[in-house]
Amino acid sequence: MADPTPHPAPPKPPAAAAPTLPANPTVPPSLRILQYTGIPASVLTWRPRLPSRNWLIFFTLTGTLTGAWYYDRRECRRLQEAYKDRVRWMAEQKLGGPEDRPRRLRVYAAVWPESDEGGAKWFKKYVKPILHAAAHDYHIEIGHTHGALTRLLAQRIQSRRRQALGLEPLPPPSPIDPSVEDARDLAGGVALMGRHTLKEYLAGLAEGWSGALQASARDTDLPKRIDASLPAFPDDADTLPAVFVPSSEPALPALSPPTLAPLSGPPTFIPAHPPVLVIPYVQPLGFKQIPRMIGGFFNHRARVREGGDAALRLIFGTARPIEPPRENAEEDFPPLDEPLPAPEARAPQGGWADSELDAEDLIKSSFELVPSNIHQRRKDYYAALVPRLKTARELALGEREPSKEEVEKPPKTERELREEAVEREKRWRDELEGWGVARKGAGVRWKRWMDGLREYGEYPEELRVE
Amino acid sequence: MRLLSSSSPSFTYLTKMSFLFGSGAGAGASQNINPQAIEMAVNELDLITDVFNRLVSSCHAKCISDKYAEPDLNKGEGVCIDRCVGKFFEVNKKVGEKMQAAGGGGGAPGLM
Repeated sequence: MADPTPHPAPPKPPAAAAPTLPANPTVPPSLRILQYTGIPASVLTWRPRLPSRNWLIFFTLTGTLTGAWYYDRRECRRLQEAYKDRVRWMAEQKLGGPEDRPRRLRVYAAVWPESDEGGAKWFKKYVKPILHAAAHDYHIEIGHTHGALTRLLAQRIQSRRRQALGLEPLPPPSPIDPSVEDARDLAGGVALMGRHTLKEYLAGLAEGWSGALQASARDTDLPKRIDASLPAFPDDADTLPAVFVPSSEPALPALSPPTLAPLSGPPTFIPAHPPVLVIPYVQPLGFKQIPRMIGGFFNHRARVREGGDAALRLIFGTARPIEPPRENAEEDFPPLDEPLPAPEARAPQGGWADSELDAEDLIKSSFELVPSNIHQRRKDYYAALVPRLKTARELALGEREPSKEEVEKPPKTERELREEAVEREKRWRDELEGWGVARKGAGVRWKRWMDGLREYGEYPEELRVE
Repeated sequence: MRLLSSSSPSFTYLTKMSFLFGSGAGAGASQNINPQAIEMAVNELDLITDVFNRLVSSCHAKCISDKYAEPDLNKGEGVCIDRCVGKFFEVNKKVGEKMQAAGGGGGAPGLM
């Protein structure tokens, strides 16, 4: 059925007109009287315009990034000044005479796994300015290789134990009374940059106090032990790599026992230890951490807050006992000399021993390959040693005349090559032991007496910086 | 701020004092005066005085601002002076080692 009221056909669209220029803008009425003053028409008809789409994109991006960067750095300055203002009154107090020594903190910074640097620069940038404003002195110990802090602390403690028993000459008398220095250390406190430093520090304490008292320092004893445990250079130099580095694991040969028997077991009484603070510090390394690094570039104020909070805790925090880890936390670890078991899914140790545990997520997985790396380097070293040994033997036996280069720069004799090999082995052993302490999931080398350690608690609420 | 100078009256008093300390004898010093020992003591005292004066003026210039708000030292300045003195002697020691390595430290004995 036809529609009774047919709708009119929709109007046809008009034919597309040829594109025309926009109409000339006209001068607004308020400015018309200026038309005859000689001011150009383009000035009178000016209207604000947005830039083109591409320029808009550019300005938005650049402006946002610059603004974020500038805002962050301004906040950093403001926050750090606020933290310093909380403590400036301490530096303005009167000095009580030459005996009034400033409080001195001990700061330890170990090297991050697979890196060359640790938390020392972070400390100097974010914590030190506040300590300086509060007239607090500090002494920083930096470990340049893995395990360096552990070895340093263990040697110092063992040296102290030997001196207490009269088995080692005391250091030359200094004008400062050592008991005063000890009291100053106790009041001063210890700051540790990050979990990796905590592990090295406690491993050093464990080795120093709980280990058997050795008759001589590790640095003098270890080369002799290594020399005894390495086979002699074989007569046929070509078999040297096979003799020294059998292709199976472990990375390093077993060590012969110490040249002198240990002097005594662990002491019954360990002197009091200053309170400790673990300062959060991480070093993201690797390709997958690049987004985090870029975000961190715009967020230095978070680090200023962390550093400032750590400084306030060191200055004002009251010492409180730590939360000890679980009961069997100390059984997890064999002595550093013995080969390391692979850490199966270890349960976390609990308590203060788990401080900053999530920092270990940032340790690269390639850190587990350190022992096979050392094994490979040993193979390469001994393979390169073969021609040098041959040259040394030929020159020593007089089988040939030295060449011109060998006269100017005499190559090492066989004994010097042996010493060099022993020194390298010591370095590899140090690295392997440091790796054993720093591994992800290796936990902290806990000893039961460490339950008595103290840490810095919170500072008063009214000092908090917003 | 020079504390002592060779021509001050306190100098002769101190020379006598150091000679007494050096020889160990208490009272009868007048018979055994050794002119060489006296000269050595004088030189050493001169040296120590010079080092002391330099140390004091250097650390004062670095650590204490020239606007004196109060006469007493405060703790911040105390820390600064501690560090300044420590660094001064470290530098002294290192320079002394280098001079000895370069061949004889001259006539002046090393300090500390």
